[in-house]
Amino acid sequence: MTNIIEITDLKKYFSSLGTRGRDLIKAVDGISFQVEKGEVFGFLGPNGAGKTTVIRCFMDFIRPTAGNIKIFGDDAHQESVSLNKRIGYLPGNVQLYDKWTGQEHIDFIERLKGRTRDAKDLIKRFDFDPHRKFKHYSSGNKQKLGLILALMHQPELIIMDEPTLGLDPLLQNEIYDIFDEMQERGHTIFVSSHNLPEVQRICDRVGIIKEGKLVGIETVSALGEKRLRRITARFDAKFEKEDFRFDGVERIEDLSDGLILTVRGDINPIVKKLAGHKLLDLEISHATLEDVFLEFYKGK
Amino acid sequence: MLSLIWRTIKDRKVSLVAYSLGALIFMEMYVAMFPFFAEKQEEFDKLLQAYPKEVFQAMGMDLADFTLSNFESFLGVEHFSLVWPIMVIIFVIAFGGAQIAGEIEKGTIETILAQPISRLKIFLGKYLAGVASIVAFCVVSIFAVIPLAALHGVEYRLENYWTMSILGFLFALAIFSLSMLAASIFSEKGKSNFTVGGIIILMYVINVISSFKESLKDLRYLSFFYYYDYSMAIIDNKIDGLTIWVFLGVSVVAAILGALWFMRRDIAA
Repeated sequence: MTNIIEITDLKKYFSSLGTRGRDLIKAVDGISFQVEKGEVFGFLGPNGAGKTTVIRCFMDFIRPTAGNIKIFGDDAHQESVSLNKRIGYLPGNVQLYDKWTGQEHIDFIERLKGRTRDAKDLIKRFDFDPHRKFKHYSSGNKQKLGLILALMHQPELIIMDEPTLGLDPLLQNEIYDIFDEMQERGHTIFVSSHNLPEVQRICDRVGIIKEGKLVGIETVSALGEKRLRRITARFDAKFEKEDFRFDGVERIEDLSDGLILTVRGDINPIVKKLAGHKLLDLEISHATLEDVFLEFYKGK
Repeated sequence: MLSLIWRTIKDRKVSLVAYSLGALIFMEMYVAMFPFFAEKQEEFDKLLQAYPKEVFQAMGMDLADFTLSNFESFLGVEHFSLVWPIMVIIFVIAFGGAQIAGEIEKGTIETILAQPISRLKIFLGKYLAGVASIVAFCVVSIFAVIPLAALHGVEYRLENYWTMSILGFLFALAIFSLSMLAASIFSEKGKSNFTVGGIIILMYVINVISSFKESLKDLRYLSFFYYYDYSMAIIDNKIDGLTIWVFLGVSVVAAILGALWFMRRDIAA
């Protein structure tokens, strides 16, 4: 497969004036990964983990302290102007010109990037009124306009920071459908998010970032299926919570009449242990991405 | 880049129209007042001679220029000595600060940076939009004298207004270029505006102090107000060669430094 994005040992340090002099903040500290053509790659992490810093390096808004970024095989800094013709970008918090209408934004981008007929289709699809000033739009409509501007040129690579922020569920599904269609046509999508169900719904692979370091890259299916399971057991008699505290049990949560166990790997020892108890109910499910996410943050 | 220039001018059109209209109203006021002052020329001259010359020095004016014998002298002292420079200073500092620093502060810069246009072109587009706005302001605020003088039957020397407009343009360009440099360095419009505003106030103070103390006389070369010799331009129809070099030199250096800084800096809205 062709790599669309290749990041090698990316570091971005900021210096800030603290109470004890200059502090060095390691926003991104040596991360490497690739995004392949046609895949939807999710970039997961809580606020302040370094997601937006990485995206700003992609877009050449900020320059890496060390390492390099290649997009379509070209250096993201040296070739930023030509790369921007092929990239659609949606910032985390869409901030556009208050006094311009939606249509004026679209016209302005068309003058810089070339005319397109897709803007009209997207306006119709999002049920967006382009004739109002930006400052009068609701947050959802602002996000719609940001999406139209990012997608209207059918970019080969779409980079988005929290793409469905502020959108209602119906519109979120519309976005997911657009992503599916674009992926079918071979477009590559890089999405930064902390909306785990969204990542689970749209992404093929996820990279998890913590304190500027990449703590894992997995396919979504591998994360959900192989690593963790949730076992909810309700007991008909007395039970000892401590009996279930052994290797592989990552987390134990209390219920009024039972336990929720998050188990890594082989579940047979737990099942054997549970067999020795009289149960009212037992449910074994694959852990949600949220459980996996919390696991990464707890363990690494 | 033309779209960027046009869009920047369009975004600032309200302030451009407001400042131009303000300058037009001032010009109308002075043109309308002049016949009355000219009639009472001798009485005013006596009154002015009674003032200590330090009062005029502190305001950066030369009493010798203040004569009501012609309209240009009157306009020079009343309008171009203080009112017009204050208007143009506020206009260009606000214009410059609203560009890069203002766009970073609002977060709109990311939309432009994500387009296939280089940072140099973005800077140049915004800079040229500012230059065009300064030209428009100078034309409206200075050449308004033509219809207004005709309206009030006041005689004027057109060539002097050409010279004044060149001096005014160069003065405004130098301050605007400093403003664009500051806007490239800072990420907040307020910081950019206060920095340039502070520099201009300091220059004004330096110019006044250097006119009082002989030992500090050479400090005047550090002030734009020394080179902004409105009386030479509007009354004598001349501009000193050094003035042109200083204003153009500062403009070119500040614009180059601003562009380089903008091209190299991290931009995080």
